[in-house]
Amino acid sequence: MKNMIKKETLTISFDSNLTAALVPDLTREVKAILEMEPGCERVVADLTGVEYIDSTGITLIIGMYRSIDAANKKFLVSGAREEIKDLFSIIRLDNIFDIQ
Amino acid sequence: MIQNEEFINEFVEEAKSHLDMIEAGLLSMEEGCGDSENINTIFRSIHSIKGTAGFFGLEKIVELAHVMENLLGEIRNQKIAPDSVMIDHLLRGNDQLKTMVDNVTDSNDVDVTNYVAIFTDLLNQETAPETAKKLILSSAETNHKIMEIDQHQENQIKKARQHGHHLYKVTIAMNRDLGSEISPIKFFKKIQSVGEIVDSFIDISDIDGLDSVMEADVVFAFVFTTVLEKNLLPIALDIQDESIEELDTETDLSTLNLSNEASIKKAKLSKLTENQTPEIIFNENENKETQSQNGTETISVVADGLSVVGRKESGSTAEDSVRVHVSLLNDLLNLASEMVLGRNQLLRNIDQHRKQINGLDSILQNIDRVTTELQEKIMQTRMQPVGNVFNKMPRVIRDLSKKLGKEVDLIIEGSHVELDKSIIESLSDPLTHLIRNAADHGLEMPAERKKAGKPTKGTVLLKAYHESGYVHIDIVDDGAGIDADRIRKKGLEKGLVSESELKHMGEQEVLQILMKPGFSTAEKITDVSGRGVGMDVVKTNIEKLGGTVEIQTKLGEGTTFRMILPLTLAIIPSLIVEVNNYKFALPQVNLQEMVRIKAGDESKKIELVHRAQVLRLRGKLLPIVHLGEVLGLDQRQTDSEGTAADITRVLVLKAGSKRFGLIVDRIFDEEEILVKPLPKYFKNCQGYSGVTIMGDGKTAMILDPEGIVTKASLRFTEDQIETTQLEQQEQTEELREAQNLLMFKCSGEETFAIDLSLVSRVEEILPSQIEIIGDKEYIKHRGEALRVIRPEQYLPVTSKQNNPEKLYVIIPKLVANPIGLIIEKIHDTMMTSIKLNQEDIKGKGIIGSTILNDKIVLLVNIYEIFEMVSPDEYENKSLKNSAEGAVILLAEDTPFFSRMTKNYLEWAGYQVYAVENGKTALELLKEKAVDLVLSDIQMPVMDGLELAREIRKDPDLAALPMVALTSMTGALDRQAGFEAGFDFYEFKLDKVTILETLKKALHLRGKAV
Repeated sequence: MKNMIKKETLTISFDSNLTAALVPDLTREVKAILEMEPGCERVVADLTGVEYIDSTGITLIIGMYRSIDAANKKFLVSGAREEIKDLFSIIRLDNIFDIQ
Repeated sequence: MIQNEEFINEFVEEAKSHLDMIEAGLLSMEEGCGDSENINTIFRSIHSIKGTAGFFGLEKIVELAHVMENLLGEIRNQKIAPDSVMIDHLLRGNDQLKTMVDNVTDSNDVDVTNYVAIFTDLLNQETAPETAKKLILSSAETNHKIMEIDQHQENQIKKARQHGHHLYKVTIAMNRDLGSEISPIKFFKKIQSVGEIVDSFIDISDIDGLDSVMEADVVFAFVFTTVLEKNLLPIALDIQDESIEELDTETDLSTLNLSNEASIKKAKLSKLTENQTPEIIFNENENKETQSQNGTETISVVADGLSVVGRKESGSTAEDSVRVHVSLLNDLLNLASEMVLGRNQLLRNIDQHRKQINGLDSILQNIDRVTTELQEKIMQTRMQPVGNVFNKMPRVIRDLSKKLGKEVDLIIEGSHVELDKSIIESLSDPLTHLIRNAADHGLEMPAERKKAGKPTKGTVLLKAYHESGYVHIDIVDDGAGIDADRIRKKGLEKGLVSESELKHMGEQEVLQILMKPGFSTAEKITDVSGRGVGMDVVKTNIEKLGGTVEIQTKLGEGTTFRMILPLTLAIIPSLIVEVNNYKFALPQVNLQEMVRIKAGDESKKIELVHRAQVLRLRGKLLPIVHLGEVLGLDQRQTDSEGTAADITRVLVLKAGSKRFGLIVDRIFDEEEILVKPLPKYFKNCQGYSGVTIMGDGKTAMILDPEGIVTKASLRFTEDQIETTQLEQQEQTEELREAQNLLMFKCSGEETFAIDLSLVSRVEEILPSQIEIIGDKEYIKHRGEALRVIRPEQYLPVTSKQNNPEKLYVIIPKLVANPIGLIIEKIHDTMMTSIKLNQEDIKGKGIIGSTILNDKIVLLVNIYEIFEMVSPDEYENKSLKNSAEGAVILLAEDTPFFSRMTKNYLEWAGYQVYAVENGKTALELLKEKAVDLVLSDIQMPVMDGLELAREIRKDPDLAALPMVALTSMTGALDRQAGFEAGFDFYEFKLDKVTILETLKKALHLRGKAV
């Protein structure tokens, strides 16, 4: 994954699928990145490179939200493909955080 | 997802028929049909498609059907009024669904976002703004959201109930229930496809942050409605029973508080995660293995369950039919065809032994009969009504007329006419093209039409009907007609025809230039037609099917395109001919006549015109073609003088509208042959249209008369081509007036003839079998005594004592108390048209005389003979002269029956006007007053049914009593007669009954004129 910081917005771009096999490592990486950039105001999870997400992946995204929200920062998801957006909207995640 | 192919195919079939219904319904909705039944039908169909598609995981189909259903739902509830634009979109959406259903396996790859957007827009524009969305209260503490069910959701649930849907609450923990095996995306799509989510709630409280990602779980609960039953739902969704709770109607929905439930589940959840029991993880594969048997049963139950519900909704009636795959029918047809060939070979081989082996004859006859019937019936299975392809046309016309700004009325007739399936399939494109042509080029713009005094609405008539063994499909427009001169010019311009060729062309041939590749008279090439590739493709396609295209046109009045198609491709009756020791098969439908050339017969002879042989047939000249020459076979010396004398038989062939004579070396029998297509390397051989295997196992090429014409470079002038209807009809008239006569001799010299339709059978007897009682003679016939007479004793003819060894008895048909006629010799049966000479030789018992085969033949009037023999029985004096001078119009084309009928009508005291067909009947009715019309059915020019219809249509004539007099005695024929307007329907030959019926008929309607 890549990350980029621009004007207090930390964008974390995922470039793999968010599946049970990969999620443990991804979680660690995300944690590391967040620790590295404590000063950001917003964190954007960029899912452009994500083709598929399973239940652990969903847990990951929610986990991100919870952690970031607990740090009083804004969390949002961007670049998700249609199906994933639909999924998030069916399970009402779009009521919890922004999905662009 | 159930990938069972059988079920998918069934789905496709059902979906297709639903989609057709939807299209028809939408079209009639546009015509202004605000019928609630109509919109209900449309709605039910789309709903059904959505439901079953969802079951198969056909997500895109579901998506599109879903939005369309929503829109249709609003229309049904009268919340939205459908307008032309909306219906347009719906039709297009329907088209898209059709495409997707046709390629069901790829349907999920189709992008339907545009359609969805359009429909969503339409919905949003029109519906009243939704009542306030759900109230969302969130507690600051736990982030739990407490949902309330609002009015909209309540309505949703109520509606679902009305449809017999069930209401469930499903709670799942994603990691636990879905895990990494089941895609959440697919899972939720599945839910949406089998039902509607009313409300839902997600609980993420278990996840504290990134640290707990691997252990925590997300709980999601939702309330939804679906057609599926409680026992089927877990299977459909791949989740456990326990996750699903059925809600019953009485539950007060407003008190339903999802959040509470969710937290309870959460408590359970933590316990479970501690144990991590494997069974809880619901594994797809596991399910299949352990429950494979159950699985399949349940699947079928589910399928049934779903389809039963579906059917209840759509209310379709069960039909007494079976679905059969087309390939099976094709196999059957192949087998039947092989059977026919086998039978032919068998008959040919065994023929000489027929009489020798006991009982063989009847066995062979049986096999023959059964094989023919088998083949016919199997061909029938492939017959489909042409309406299948006709019903696509209204849509074509609708779209086209909009595009062109013309008003077009499409009239369809004869949708029930049947054609072989393969022909029907190939018809679709040519037909569409011709229809578009008619609307585009044929019909003028409304303004022009008005100027020409025509109604602004143009008419396109699409008509299918049977004629002489073919199916005709006419596309008639009442437009501007085709300008032959324009075609000549364009043809020259485009280099499709040369000046010299044009000079020799008759009008039909000029019109046919229209169908050459590269031709197009359209000024602008619209995308509708006129790209110069259309008409020639139509022609080739039709010709590939063994048919032809004819064009008739009248400037200012309109054009008719006529497609003439064979009933079936596979087996056709043909005549085997031989030339240069090669045998060929000539399709029977092209054979119009076999002419025997005899010296001295002026009506048929071979002449020389510019050193080319021609046949003069009844005054017309037909070019003659020697088959061997045309096919390029090795020729013996042909010197025109010599061969003219040798020719004894000429086959008169008809190719399209052209007639010519074909000379061959030998003519064999008729055979039913199986048409096999020409192999590729024969493609350029014009004279042949196929190849077959004959009864003796050898191959024979099937001749193509059209191709022969081209090869022989025959040029047909205006005289020879039958461009006028009248001429064609005259020819068929000649053939129709032909009667089947039995010629015989009694003891004297004279030759007699009797119409075969009067003959039941002819028995051979020994003179000793005749028993004499008093002065009457009898024989035993079928266990009863049959009176017999010798006609020569009652007729003004010679009588001799010959003492022959055997005699024959003609047993008449359709007579109440039959009397057999004893005759000595049977000559021949002939099918011929008679010129009755009624004046020279007359007498009671004889209708008239004619000349057949150079002999004078006396036509016997059976009735009069019977009257003479047994006046008590046959003469009904009370009927004589009892008619009070009523006037009858008799329409009968056969001179024999006309004469007979007129005879006894006049004897009964009626005044009779006799005419030959319906047309002349109508003409006479205009001039003379009659009291009753007595008409044959089968007549040329205008038949009896047509006559009846015309009379009933005419206010001056409608009240006339009409009696049909015919030899067609089937129930269907009777019904057709009554439907056409006849009051009574009688058989030709039963004089007494006819007279009684006439009396009844006259009293029935009164003597109205």
